[in-house]
Amino acid sequence: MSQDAYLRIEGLTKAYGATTAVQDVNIEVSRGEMIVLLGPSGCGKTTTLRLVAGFVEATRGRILVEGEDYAALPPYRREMGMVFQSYALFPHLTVAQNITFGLRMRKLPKAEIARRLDEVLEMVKLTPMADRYPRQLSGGQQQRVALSRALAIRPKVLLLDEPLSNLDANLRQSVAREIRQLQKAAGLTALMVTHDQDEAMTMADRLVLMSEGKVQQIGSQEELYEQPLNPFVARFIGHSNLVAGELVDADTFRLPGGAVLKLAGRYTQRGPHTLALRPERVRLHGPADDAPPRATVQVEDATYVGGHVDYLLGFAGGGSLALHEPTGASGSARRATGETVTITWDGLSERLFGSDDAAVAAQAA
Amino acid sequence: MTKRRPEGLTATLLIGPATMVVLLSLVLPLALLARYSMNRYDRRTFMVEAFTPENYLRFVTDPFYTGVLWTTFSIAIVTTLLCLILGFPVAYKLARSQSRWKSIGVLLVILPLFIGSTVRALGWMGVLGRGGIVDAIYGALGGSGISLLNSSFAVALGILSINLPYMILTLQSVIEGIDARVEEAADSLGASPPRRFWHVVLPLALPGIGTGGILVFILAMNAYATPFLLGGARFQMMAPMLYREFAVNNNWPFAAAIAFILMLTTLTLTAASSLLVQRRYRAH
Ligand SMILES: Nc1ncnc2c1ncn2[C@@H]1O[C@H](COP(=O)(O)OP(=O)(O)OP(=O)(O)O)[C@@H](O)[C@H]1O
Ligand SMILES: [Mg+2]
Repeated sequence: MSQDAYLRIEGLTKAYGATTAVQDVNIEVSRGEMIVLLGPSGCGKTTTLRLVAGFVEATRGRILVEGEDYAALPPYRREMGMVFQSYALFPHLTVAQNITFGLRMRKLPKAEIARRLDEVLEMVKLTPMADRYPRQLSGGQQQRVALSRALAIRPKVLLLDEPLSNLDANLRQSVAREIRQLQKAAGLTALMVTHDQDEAMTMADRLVLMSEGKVQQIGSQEELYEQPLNPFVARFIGHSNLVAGELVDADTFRLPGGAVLKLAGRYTQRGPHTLALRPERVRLHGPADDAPPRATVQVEDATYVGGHVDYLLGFAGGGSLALHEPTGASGSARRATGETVTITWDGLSERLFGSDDAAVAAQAA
Repeated sequence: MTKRRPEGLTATLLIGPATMVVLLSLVLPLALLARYSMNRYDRRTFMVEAFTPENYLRFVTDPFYTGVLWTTFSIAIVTTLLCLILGFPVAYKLARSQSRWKSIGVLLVILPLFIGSTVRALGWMGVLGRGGIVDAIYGALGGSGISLLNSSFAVALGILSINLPYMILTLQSVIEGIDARVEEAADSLGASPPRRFWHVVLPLALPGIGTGGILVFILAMNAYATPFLLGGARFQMMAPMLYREFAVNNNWPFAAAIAFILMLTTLTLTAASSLLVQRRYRAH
């Protein structure tokens, strides 16, 4: 455990009666880092954020900022800037009054308040809107007011709960970039929640993937993508194929229906396993292919979606696999439904998980 | 293309019946009352056709009557303010509660409304009167024979107890309309609970405070049974006095004038206060 973590969440647990919304969450955040909490609906992302903000009291666990335990601090003393999904702007205050609210609560000198207001307005390009009321703004503008209101207090940690979910798809990307730039420029430590994978990938320094209140994996984009720790991570990040079966010898993976896949790894652990395979790492095996064929399958469906052809392949005796073939890459024509094809993939693109969901190590042949 | 029904016509059709009811049940009696208030009173023939302002003049020039108006106004203002101060915390708690006891709480607030004001005043008489509960406690402590009845205190207490539920229910619905996230935003921006209340909750609840205040104020200005039963013979408020002029003294013209003065005072104050609220709230 590193000693220099700026924000440290230790064993954080929140139970609502019988349901445990957040269970034993441990996260360490360095100064200036942007951590994105990712996971399916109801997995406890918002609750984690609200625990950090102090809006809900933890059942167990600690939240430390620069080594100081925040458990006893009420939210108004925590100096965490929160951006709400619904923005939660003060409807009775103008843009300028919204942004300076935190500064006025801190009783900063008037000149300082005015200076920071101008600075923040400039930053988010809202200067002409200063005297408007929230209801006179577009969704995107309201979002920026919410952001600048949180930035103006120069928070210890910036907390963002799905800040982009109320924006249309076009705006989302540019605002995401804008938030990321502002956060980097200000050197802010930030905790953001989203259930949108692309958003998480583009904005995070590191990702925390959660499911059912528990952290499944913490790591960089590459780590979560290339080395998922369990089938859930493999499935959630990049929609891996998950195929259940049994390892009958070091290289042979047999499906319940009898179909067989050849693995190039030397796996020592026998027994029931789950094989995870990325659709874009599998390819149709051609005559000129160096790699040996790994399995024989039947085309069940082929859909042209522009950048690639989306194949659904079936194993004899049951089980299926998705495969994405880039259009124009191999030059091969689109295969017809019902055609029997062989598939392959490079090296150790597959990942094997044991019955305990833990990854099974492979020694390359 | 089908011809569209003019919007104005639809609106007229929809509003028409209600307008007729209001016209017949409100405007006509009022017009009649206004006419009566200009008539002259005669001891033997009672009401004499005339067109004189003397009833109004009698009211405004006699310190007794203006005193009664002032008492009524004072009681109404005091009870309205007390309703607000006592009702707000309850309304806030109810509005923000997520407990399953919430509906029980709301029911407890509504329950007193099932009991009429006369019955409730009688109840207070049992509490405050000689031989009542307060007297019994006082007696047990060594004192003897006190009655809190026939006082402005008793009347204010009675009106307060009747009006409080209206205030709480009005405020509760308005507070429920305030996004709880907005309060959390204030929290996260460093506003302590009192400052959050002052800078966020209060301004956002202002329309509700206005509505609830006006409702309760009008009820208090027109209170009849409570001042009649708890105030006794010497404590005068407008509604009981009006009744006495009308039914006991048979002075319809003067009673009509009193009714108009009460109504106009209430209307003027209500309009003024709602203007005030609107001005503070115009931004919204
Ligand atoms: N106040 C509460 N009382 C009871 N249960 C709650 C409360 N708040 C959250 N929960 C439960 O805790 C779990 C986690 O909720 P949370 O809001 O943190 O999910 P989330 O990951 O933010 O989901 P989403 O992506 O849909 O916003 C859910 O099962 C939810 O029903
Ligand atoms: Mg959420």
